[in-house]
Amino acid sequence: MSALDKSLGWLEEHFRYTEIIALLRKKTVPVHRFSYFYFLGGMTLFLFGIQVVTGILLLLYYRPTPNDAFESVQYIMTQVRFGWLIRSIHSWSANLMILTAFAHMFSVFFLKSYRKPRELTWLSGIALLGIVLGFGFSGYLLPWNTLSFFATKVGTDIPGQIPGIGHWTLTFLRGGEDVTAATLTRFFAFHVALLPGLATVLVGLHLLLVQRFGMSVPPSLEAEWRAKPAAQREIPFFPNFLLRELMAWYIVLAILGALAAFLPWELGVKADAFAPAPAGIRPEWYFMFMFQTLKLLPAKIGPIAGDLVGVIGFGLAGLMWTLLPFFDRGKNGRAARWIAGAGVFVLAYMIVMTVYGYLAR
Amino acid sequence: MLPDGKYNALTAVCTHLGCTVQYRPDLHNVWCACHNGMYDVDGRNLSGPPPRPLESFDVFIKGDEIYVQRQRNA
Repeated sequence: MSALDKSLGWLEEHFRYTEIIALLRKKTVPVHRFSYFYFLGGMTLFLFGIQVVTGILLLLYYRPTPNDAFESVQYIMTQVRFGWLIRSIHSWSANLMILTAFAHMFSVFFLKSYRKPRELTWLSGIALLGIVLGFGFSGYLLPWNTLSFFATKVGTDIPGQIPGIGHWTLTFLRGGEDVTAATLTRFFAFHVALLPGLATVLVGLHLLLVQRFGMSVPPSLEAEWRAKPAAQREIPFFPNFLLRELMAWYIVLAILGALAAFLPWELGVKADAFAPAPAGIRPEWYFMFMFQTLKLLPAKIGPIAGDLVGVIGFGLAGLMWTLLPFFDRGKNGRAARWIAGAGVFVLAYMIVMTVYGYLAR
Repeated sequence: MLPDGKYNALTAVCTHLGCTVQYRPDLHNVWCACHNGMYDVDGRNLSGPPPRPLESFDVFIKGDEIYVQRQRNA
């Protein structure tokens, strides 16, 4: 008996891994013309893994105080061996992760994968998207540069507009009335402790739900397959689907590596609380559509402040979007067309406003 | 200091979302970079999203010193 067989025997005795592999072999994934969209969730997970690893490496040198934060990132980028690459990967991977998370959400939307019994999968996915955006927003401040300082000022002022709980939310986020050292400490805590903890639990739940219900097949294909059962195809999850997924990860890694190496992430200028907001200030691209909307809204819409209308509008739209699986019961053809139309409108609005935001500077 | 030699003191916090505003010599106006809000040199909101004028202070000069204080009537 070889050493390998011995160790595998020990592992089997103490872990019973062959049962898990048998389960994975039994699990199948449907194959059809939309199968490529199944990779997006896994790609997001892969990028999340990269964030955890590079984030831990950055933690070895980063110092979360207004006096040290900028300098510590500068130190990472200039003195630490491969520090510039690790930080660049962390920043690029964060942006790619938000991109793949949005792409994943819209593909789930248009393929109607949120339908019964997958409502909880959709809800946990929306919660994860919120967490990912929270990661982006809190991480943006950590290098303590001018752009991030004012983006945080504006970004925390926006929830401050909400009637009733607004002021409380603002002081909770900032740790006081203004963006100060307290804000940086707090955002750091959110970014490296609170959000990773929540994300881990929710990713676990999300994956468990995906395992429980399997991959969803879009309704149009379901109908085709009902009419012609011979056309239905599927592959085993292990190893066939997993190998294809790994191929997708490999491509993501190549894109990420190229971006991080050839377009290293900039550090900008250290924040000065007394300096005026610089021209060309803007949030990260994924908040641009909201930023641009607020820029276009007049000071007053009727008797109500323009911002408040914007904030309430986005809040209501977000709520409707979250509750989507409970509106779309998949029975009424007209309702389904309305929902698909609304999805196209939302996607088009986000793209147009984002492009407009970058051109209108 | 205004061209006519008078002094004006305004708070630099934009009334829209709290960014720090700046004086634009090319426009002779006070401008907020965050959302393109524009005020005149007296702090009145001219265009863009700002809902209110900038808070202004009383300015008076005694000898060589400039005093700035909160407005009495505000």
